[in-house]
Amino acid sequence: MCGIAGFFYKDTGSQGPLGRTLVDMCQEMYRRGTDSVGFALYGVPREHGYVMRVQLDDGAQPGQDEAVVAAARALVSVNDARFVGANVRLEVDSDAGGGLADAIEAAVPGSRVFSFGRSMEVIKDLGSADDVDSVYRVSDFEGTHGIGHTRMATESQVDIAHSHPFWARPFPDIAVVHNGTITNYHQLRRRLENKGHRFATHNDSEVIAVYLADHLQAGESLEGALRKSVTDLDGTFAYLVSTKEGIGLARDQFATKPLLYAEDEELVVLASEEIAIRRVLGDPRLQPHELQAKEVRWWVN
Amino acid sequence: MGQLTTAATIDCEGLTTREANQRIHALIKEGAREIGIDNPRARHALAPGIKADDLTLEFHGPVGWYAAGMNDGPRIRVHGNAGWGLAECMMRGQVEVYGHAGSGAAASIRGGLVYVRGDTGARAGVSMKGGTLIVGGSVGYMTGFMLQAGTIIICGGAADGLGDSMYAGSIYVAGPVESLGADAVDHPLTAEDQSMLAETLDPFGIDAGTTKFRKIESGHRLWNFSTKEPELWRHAL
Repeated sequence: MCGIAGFFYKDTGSQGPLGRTLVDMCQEMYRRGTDSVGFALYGVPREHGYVMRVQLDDGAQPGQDEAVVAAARALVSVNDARFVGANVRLEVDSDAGGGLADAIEAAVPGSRVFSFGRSMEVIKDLGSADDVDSVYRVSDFEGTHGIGHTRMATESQVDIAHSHPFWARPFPDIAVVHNGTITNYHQLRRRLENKGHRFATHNDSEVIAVYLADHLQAGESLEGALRKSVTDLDGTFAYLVSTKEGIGLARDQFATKPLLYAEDEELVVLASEEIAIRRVLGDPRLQPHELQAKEVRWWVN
Repeated sequence: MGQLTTAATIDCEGLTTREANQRIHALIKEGAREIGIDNPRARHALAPGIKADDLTLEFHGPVGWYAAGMNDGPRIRVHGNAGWGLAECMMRGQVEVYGHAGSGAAASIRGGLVYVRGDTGARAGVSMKGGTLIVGGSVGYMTGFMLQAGTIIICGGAADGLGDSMYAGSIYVAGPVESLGADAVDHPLTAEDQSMLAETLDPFGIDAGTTKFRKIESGHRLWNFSTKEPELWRHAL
């Protein structure tokens, strides 16, 4: 059991208290999982350069965070570097793409880039939504759309790397949150690794992000990949995928995992439970609706 | 006791779910017969385990998962949505939801009536052992799965697997059906069925006379295992 949440402003460029909204929604669903919480937040994208977040493995040597910054400076021009919680946050002036993440990881052993995009900022750590917010100030984030996750770990370890969201490496600005279990994980992972994709963790949910990345690499639309995923992924799932432009979702053929959406002319709210939607949605006339088995939806600007 | 003292209100704001439920039970003990409940805000497990007749609970807003579970007798109205497992294991009574309901509405009820004005998620009426479920809108995947007794009336359409592996009971559906489940088969609609539908739906303002229902029942082919029907069993299992 995990809780997932999403929020999307329909007007292009329209921004609001995105971080506060997603923190509140995830906190309201804390019963669904208290191991860790994560968010993928989006604002108006940069025209050039990327923002990235790098995490160091447990047992990293002191000074490794500075080594990440030095490695980045050796590769590209770094406009801003900060240490936030367990992350190194970098703003770089480069259009090199996701390959830059590989180069930094190769230069600093034990470093993992888990967030990479023109706009996307993945923030994740152990504890509740309020705990993560107190360290990373997620609630200060004004943005256009985003997704969140509160995790109850069932099949892989509890640490930051195995927390959601998962970046769909190497594609900038794409991340996934998932509630469920992917039962053909090992088979899919083997197949994707044989095609050259890299996995950073042993969390079965990561395979959804890599699966979507593989389809994008083949030139498919994200919507097309979502539709195919409903039959290619085996197991139980309700997942959200976020991109620079918006949010998509898919639900498994047995409708085993809950997912509701509510929308009006201005916004879309998604969550595993209505209690989370009611925490942030003032208008009682908006009635959330449960998604059907195999349903795929997509909102973009 | 005068008429006025039988009505009471609870505001869930600031209360834990346990406190809200304890207040409901305490008010019933004190003789309240009409209880209004404000600000439920879709929280879970509200109003379970109530054994009382001539009692109406009115939720002014949505309720969460497992609302009105294991009840025996009361009438509960929800002016909003309900989450998963609405009225689960109800023995007697009536639950009316004037929004949508999540998956597993009326799961395993033994009696009473559940009415959902909007749509329901997957597996509505799963394993019902009696009672009636009425859905004004459409129903999700595998509605009526393993139905053992009772009646499900669907005024809208149904997603895949309607009535899958039902043992007994009846499903009436007015809208399009994506597919029937294993061993769920069409039966002719009789005059008795039509009058039962009219009588059951009338209190909810639904005119069964103008709606053409289809009746689904068990084909009884799954009652006993047979190696002569491998296809049926492969599909069912």
